Amino acid sequence: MRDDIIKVEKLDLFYSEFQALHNINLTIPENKITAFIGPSGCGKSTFLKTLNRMNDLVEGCSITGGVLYRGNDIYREEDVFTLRKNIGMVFQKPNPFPMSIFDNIAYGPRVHGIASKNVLHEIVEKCLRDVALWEEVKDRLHKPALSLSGGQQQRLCIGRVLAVESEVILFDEPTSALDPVSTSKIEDLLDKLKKKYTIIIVTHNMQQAARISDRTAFFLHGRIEEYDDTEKIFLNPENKTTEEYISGRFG
Amino acid sequence: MKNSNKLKQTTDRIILFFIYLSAFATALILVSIIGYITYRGLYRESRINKEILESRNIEYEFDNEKYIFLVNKTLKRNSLNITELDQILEKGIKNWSSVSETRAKIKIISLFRKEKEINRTYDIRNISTAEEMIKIFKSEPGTIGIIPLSARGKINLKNLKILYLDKNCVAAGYKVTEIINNSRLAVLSEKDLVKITNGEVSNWKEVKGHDIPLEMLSTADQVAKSSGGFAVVDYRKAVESGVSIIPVSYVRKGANFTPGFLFDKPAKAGKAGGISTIIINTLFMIVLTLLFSVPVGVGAAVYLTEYAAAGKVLKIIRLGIETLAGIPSIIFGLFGFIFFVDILNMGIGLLSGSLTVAMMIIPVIIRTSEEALRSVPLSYREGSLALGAGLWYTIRKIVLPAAKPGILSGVILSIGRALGETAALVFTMGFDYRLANGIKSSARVLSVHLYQLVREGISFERAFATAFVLMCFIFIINTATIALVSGKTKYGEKQ
Amino acid sequence: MKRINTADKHGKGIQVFLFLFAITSVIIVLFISFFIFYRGFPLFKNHSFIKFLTSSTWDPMADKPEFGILSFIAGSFYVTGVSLVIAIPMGIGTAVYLAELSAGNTAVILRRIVELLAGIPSVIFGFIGVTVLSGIVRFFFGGTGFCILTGGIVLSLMILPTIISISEVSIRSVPSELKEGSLALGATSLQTIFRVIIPAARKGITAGIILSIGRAVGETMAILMVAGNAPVMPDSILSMTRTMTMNIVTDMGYAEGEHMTSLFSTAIVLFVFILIINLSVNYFTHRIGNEKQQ
Repeated sequence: MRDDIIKVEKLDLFYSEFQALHNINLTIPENKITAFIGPSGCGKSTFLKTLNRMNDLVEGCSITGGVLYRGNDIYREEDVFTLRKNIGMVFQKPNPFPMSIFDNIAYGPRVHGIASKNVLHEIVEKCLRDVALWEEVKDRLHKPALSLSGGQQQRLCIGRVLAVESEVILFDEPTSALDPVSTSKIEDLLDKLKKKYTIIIVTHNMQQAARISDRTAFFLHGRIEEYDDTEKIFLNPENKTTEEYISGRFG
Repeated sequence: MKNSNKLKQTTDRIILFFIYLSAFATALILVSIIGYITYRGLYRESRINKEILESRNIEYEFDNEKYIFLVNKTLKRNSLNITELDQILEKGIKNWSSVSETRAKIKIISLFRKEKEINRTYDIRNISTAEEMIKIFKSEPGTIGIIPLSARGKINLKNLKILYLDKNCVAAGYKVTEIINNSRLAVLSEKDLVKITNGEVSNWKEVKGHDIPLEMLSTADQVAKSSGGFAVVDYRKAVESGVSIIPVSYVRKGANFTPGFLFDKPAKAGKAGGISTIIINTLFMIVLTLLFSVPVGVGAAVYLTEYAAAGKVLKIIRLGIETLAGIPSIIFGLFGFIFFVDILNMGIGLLSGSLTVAMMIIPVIIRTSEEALRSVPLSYREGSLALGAGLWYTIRKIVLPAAKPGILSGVILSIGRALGETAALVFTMGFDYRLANGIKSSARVLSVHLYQLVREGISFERAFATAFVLMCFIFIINTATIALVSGKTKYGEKQ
Repeated sequence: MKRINTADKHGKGIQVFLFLFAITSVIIVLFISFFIFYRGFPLFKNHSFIKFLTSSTWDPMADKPEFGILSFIAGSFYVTGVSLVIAIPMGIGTAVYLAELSAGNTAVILRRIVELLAGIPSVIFGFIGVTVLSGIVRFFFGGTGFCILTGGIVLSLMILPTIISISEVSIRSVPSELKEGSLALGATSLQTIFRVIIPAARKGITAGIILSIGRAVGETMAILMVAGNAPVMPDSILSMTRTMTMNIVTDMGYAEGEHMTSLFSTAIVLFVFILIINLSVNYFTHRIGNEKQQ
């Protein structure tokens, strides 16, 4: 058996009265890419947010069951901030802060108490190299991040997560707002990153899931219909609806 | 059917006309207000009625001898009228400040060879040489030098000027100023006076008087006996003879607002001088007001947008803010008067006034800051929180900086409100137009100054100049607000 | 592994602190209410409240002082009435022009003009009233020129921006389907505006008008400068008048004892009236919100 970094047990999620997730059970392996697929409104993004408690921000949202990160229930932990540092998140639309490129990367380390200029410089350079942005922006580190192109902005946002030394990175449809060239750059990047990080990605694009992920979970109506190795899901699904979805018959 | 259509078209047209008219009138109102205040603020054309004509004689006759008066060139008067001069000679007036904007003690010296009648009548110091006289002029700027007309060539006039004397007046026959049919000739315009002296007028009705033939005479006594007589005579002789004197109205034209108006201290209840101390007092008031209101207002807005959960408490807070925004300023003034001035014993002064105005502008700041905070994209907050930052850290480092232009424009907007406030300040901050010398010192601000000038009828010219300055400030503030809202933030475009 | 998080060290404390700021407005309103009543109520120990409201004899300095503010209430009522008669048609007309008939630069400029008009201090309006409007009124109607009419005109200029901007917003917020539906039935754009859009926006417009009534009744300085300030019952639109606000500010300078108390009693009447206005605006705007949700 491989090492499981996250384990979800009997998770139900409610928005006030409405139940959005039903009895989710799954484990996420370390240093692998896990993809969540499914039609819009199936609960895959909602589920992603439960993994670093970003759903705390949604009013009226409550859960039962447990999410274990390295064996600890994250909903019992008081320190949501350290949790979010360990489990980082990249959003659908690139959301760089309205500050310079440098300050964007340095923001996370500063949040967690690093103030030394030299250390910050090292971190910024390393992270920008990791996301293959360094060569493109090294001469204009102090220019506004919003002046970058969409694809660059998204790589910057990934770099921002790397800077806080996360172990797990959640990607919520990270390429849906990008052009094909930028998309393939991000996909290459994800492939490189999985050596050091555990990656969980929500995607609408089934080819993308097939191309880059090791494990795939298929969500429907707030339930996991099927969860297995990506190859198995795409070539030989057990479940009939999974097959129908993957072959493009609905969704 | 056709008829009703036609009627409909006509009504439509009338209504449309009315709509365009309203829009046009609204624009016209503002343009006229600004235009009128600017015009009257910059340029003045006022009438002054004077019994003693501006005859600008150079010599003064006393005991059958003629004298001229010399003063420093820096003095802000070129002429005195005969009554003012008498008062000065009789020491009724001891300082130039009572007849001019110059502040200097009046000292009278003369250059006579021997003791004269005039020295005995008035207390005048005799000087023996011209050099000595010039020395005294240098050390005492308020000096008046009296020299005989014949000695005029002996004095070097380099830094001196001749003080002209106004001593004549218009005397008219007793019938001219009689009230007939509720009207009478109360004043003569300068133009009409010239017409009369040129002999172009034969009847008083030609110069807006009654139908009485105009008779040109030469002495006051002659006029006193005539019914329609006219003469320009010595004012003192006219008073002695009891003849009726008709004032002449002079038109004063020229710049009303000058740079000096901004930089001079006000004097004589605002009748003279400028508004420098009042502008500084206004700045003090605004700084203090912002000090009290901005933290509270922005803080409240942050709470409402970032922390507050829907519920009863939130509803009460919202109702409180709306109610506060609707309370008239006079009620704030009353409250400030009892609470700050009286109960907290702060007295009438800057502190009480600023606190009162601060309460009034808190709702403005809350409303605009809330709008600015809500316009900050949610993704900024998410991005920061997902990196493990706390809510307060996120607000401080991301949300507030991004909302800064909007918040700032709200603050500027509220400065505009504070600047225009009058009713709440009259009884909390007071009227003293001197520079405030402490936080409890009474201080007059621009709007209160304008109100005082108008209400007490002190000077409409100064009131227009003050209104012009006030409007300039308001215009700058308005433009700044718009520039900020439509401008770009430092990093990237406004969202 | 566990580190002290610098990110949210003061989180809870800050929240409490900000909450205090947020309820400041409520506290101020309560304080103002309390003190105005506390200082104004004692008058009614010696003088009947009914008489205070229904008598028009104001003689606070007499041996047997009388405090009747009916003429001041009437004054406030009249000047506000005159201002509404002028400002409502003009304001709605301008709002219709801005929302439906203008485009591009004209609208931008006119909107700036309205904003600027809203920013002009009341003392400037009063000053314009003294120097220009009173002369115009005197020229056309005779008298001193300082009367209800002049006061009403000055107030109308001051409330015009409020009526325009609130009406424009509510006209704009009428769904375009309504408008298109009417146009599709062959109605002219004016018919659409008056039969469909304005009726649909009437709640917002009403709220704007009520709000401006509050402003007009509460206005002090401008009206003080132009309305003549005579404490008698006005008998025509050209008579001098004194409003409640004018009464407070005029006598504040020298009033003592019961006379001073009576000014606070006047303020109570004014304050209660303004509160009613505020609450009804709140009610109207709330209703609009609810309707939109449905």
